[in-house]
Amino acid sequence: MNVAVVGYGTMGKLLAGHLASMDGVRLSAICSTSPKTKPEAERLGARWYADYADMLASCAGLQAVVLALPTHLHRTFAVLAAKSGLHVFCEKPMALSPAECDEMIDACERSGVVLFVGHVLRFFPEYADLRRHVTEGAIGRIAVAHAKRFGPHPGDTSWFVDEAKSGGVLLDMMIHDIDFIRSIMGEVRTVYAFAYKSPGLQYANATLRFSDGAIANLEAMWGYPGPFTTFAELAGDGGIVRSDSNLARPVRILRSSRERREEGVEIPSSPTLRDPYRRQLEHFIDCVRTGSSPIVSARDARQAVAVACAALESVRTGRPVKLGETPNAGTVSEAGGGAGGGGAA
Amino acid sequence: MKRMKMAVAGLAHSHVRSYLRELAAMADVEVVGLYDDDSTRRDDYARRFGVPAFETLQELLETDASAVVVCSENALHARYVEAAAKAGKHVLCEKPLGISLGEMKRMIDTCRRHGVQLMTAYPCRYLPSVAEAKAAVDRGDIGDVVAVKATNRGRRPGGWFVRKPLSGGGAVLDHTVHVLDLMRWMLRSEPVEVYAEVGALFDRTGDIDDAGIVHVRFASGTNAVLDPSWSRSPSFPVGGDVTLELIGTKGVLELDALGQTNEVCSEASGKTVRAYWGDPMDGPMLRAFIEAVRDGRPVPVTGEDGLRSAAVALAAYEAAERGAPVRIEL
Repeated sequence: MNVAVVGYGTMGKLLAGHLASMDGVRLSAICSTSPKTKPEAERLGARWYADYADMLASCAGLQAVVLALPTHLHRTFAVLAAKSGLHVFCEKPMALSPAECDEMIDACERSGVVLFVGHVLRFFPEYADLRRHVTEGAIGRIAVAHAKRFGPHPGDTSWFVDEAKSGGVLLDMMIHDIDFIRSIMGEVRTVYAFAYKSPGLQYANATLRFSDGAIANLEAMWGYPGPFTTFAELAGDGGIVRSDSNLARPVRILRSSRERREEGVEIPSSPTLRDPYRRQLEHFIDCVRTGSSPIVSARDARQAVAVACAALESVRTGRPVKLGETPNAGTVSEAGGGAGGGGAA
Repeated sequence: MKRMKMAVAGLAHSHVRSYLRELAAMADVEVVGLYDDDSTRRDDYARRFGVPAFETLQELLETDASAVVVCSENALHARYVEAAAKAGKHVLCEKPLGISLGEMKRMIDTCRRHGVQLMTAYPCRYLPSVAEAKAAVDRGDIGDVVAVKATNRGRRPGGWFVRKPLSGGGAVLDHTVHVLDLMRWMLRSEPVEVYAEVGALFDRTGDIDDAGIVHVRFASGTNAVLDPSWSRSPSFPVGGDVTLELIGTKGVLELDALGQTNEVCSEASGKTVRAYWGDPMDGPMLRAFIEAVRDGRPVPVTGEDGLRSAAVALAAYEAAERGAPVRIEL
């Protein structure tokens, strides 16, 4: 299968590296406005394109695109790919509003191509494991859940901090946990949220009420001074499951001070043979080949955006937002089932 | 040394056992008597702690005790506190101070009019870990605190705790107040607006709230959120927690106030528990009350403090009912 990576930042490089080494996949092209991409593309055996339309018009035999672009470009690029008959893998979040998501879904449905949004958390072994315990009944019926995602600040000049491009920490970071929690707990009824933003710091906190009454509180932060930290806990009437990234550190490399090359003393690592980024690409390729439904449906990805946008609206208004009440929020009745398939394990 | 005489009125809250133990260990304190409406409970505690039981509250209050510890069911706090105040006794009242704004204001007012002090039992302030966190915030270690996420979770209690006429509310009233007191203390600001999601979710057949998430906006602009749920299953390795994560403009402070634990794996229980080895908090809190009363200084945690934190829990119920934020107006 001939695949092109579009956008060559952190995620583009990571995904291109995987695609270039996957059986049955040919990384045909990399599209990036930066000429510095050309030698890197050639090293991976791919052709470099500076212009997306040019690539779509002239890259023979191309079957799928992997969009690793700033979020505000997702809609336009995905719709163009669909119109060219190409399957679409799109980085999360799907887009900046449910309306944009709907355009992408419509275009892909009309062209009969797969639209897969990279909610990679579903492919992380620790999250798949949490989900497995819940579905196997270990904790009974869920009542209260927590999720947290704290990382470094992307830098005040990065496109990530421009909310018009990324949606900020809520759409870029919390979206992971919104999708994951929603995949277990179902449809969101109400969202209440607050946020704080200053140079070098973005913090957002959202409380979700689900249609079956269960409650979740989600936190996301850019500018955390500690190690990248993820945490999730689901408490039910039959027990509790938790996953804490700071407790799952099978390898700790502590360098003596004379050997340190830079500030920072500890490199946390949780090695796995099941690289989640590679596995989500394999899943996408498999869905394209076999026609089976992705475990993260486009509708799931759209609903996650709807919840995040409702949270942004709650931050603006200081009031709870019911899903489906506002033009920008998703509607529960449209939801395509929260379970989203058989898990990522 | 002159011993301070104290009495205990109301024995329903299990914290009373720790209070009686701590008081018994103080050389300068004498517990002159105790009372509870339930004569079985009264006689049982009298025997276990070697303290005289009184047949009526009136008789207890006629003793020469200078202070009374109230540990009754929440709904009876007002009755005990006001009776003690009218008898000229200083009062240390178990949290929550009361179950309605009106009765808490009346309790405070009655104590003031009778010239006695009223302290609310918020022992968490006396944990060294909490004190260190407060000191770090005061030093400006993390700059201005802009957001707080907290938990005060526990196992589901039984008995009067789950009977609303006696408790006044479930998990949200039981567990919002401790952390709210710590937030007010550390932030030096008052809550102005509350939003909450509340439910009976761990026991969906129950008629008392056992789950919730409470959002609080402070006058300073800081936003806080807390989980007061009775969500710790018996299988969980600790019975409860008190955590605060303070997001500041210059850093983050993570407090796990009861985090000083060891892991104990026992065939007897068939599970691993995390056993707390940190300092006790009830003794230092009782000392602070006793010394303030004895020396004629203001108690460190007042009835007003009790009112202001409980008001948030009461507002949380109202907000959940209305599906909209509620302003705190006292």
